[in-house]
Amino acid sequence: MKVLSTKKLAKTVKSLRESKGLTKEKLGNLTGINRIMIGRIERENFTPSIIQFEALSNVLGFDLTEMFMEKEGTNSFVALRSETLSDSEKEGVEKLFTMMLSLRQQIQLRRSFENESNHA
Amino acid sequence: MNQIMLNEVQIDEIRKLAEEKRRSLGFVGETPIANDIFTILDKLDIMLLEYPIEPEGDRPAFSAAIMYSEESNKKLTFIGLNTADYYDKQIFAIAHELYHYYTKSGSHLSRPEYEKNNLIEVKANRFAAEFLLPETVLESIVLDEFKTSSLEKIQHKTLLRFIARLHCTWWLPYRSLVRRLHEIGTISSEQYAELYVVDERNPRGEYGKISQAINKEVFLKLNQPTKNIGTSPNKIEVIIRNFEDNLIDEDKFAETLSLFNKTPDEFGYEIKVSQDDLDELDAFFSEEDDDEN
Repeated sequence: MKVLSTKKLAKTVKSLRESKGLTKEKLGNLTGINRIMIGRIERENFTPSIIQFEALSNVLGFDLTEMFMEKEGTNSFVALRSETLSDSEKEGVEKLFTMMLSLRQQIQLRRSFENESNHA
Repeated sequence: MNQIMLNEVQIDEIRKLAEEKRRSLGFVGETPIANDIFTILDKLDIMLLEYPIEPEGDRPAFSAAIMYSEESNKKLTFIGLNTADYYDKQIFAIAHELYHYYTKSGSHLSRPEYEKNNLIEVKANRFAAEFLLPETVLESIVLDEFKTSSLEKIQHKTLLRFIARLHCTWWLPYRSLVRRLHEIGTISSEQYAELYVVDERNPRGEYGKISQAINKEVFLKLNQPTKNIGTSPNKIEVIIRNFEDNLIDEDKFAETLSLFNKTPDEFGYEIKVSQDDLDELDAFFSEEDDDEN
């Protein structure tokens, strides 16, 4: 499964914007995205909507699909699953991955919350 | 199947690695890690995920797996642990995974008892034994107790009692201890073969009786598959705080906790069932009544 890589998007937007000599404000005017939001995209701190995403790719000239990468964890899940010998092992691996993804989500929520609290 | 034997250089590397890691974690000399292995995971910020995976047929399920997740430059490390295994084997499996963690030797399903022909796994097993009970410590224990480093003339029963005491102190599985004594050359190959086939888990067997006479509580604990489902208390705390700070709603809170075999109620939160859900339940049961009439 592929997911949007905020890291790749941040790098692409920043480098293309700079190579075209655009300020965040100028790019904001061309795409209809607030300059602060452009800054946040470049810091991996904001995921744009589909419309904003398309506007960025049109103005800066990058391929939308190249911003998507194979989801982390999926590969190791497939690898671990391929090593299972029995149905109970398969079920166990799936359960452990569900736990892992759920815990990861909770940790990320917590980190974002604590970062925002620190910057408030 | 050819069993891989480590050479002196490889053994020395593992010994040094285990010693360095033990020291950095505050375990100096004759300090058993035993149950503190779980505290070590917290210290290293490795998240433990526990789930019982029952064996099918005569092959036991995998013992543990190390899993990584990387996002926005933040790497998270998880150890998935099979809690249908005996408790002392769970501890050994965690120590085995720590080798993979320290040497970054990939994630896969570890089957310590069945991987005698895979170099990395043989090294991970040796590291686990060395990490839980260093060779130098074992040698000095043998020397202190028997005034010699060779136990070839020691009776079988005396050896069983000695191993039982080590077992109850260091929490290393019986067979690992027997292997360890052979590795350091204190017992002969014949003694090793004889000790290795002892029915070590049976509480009514000779070794079981001896061990219980020494420390019943610990022996029974080590021979118990815990069957736990869950994660460490500090990670459960993250979920509760997220709920308390309104980052997740009641449903998500209850659903996430249930994955780790916990309920909001256990933490003093009563999740109220909405009127809509109650109406739906009423409708469901009244339909059943109608069907029965």
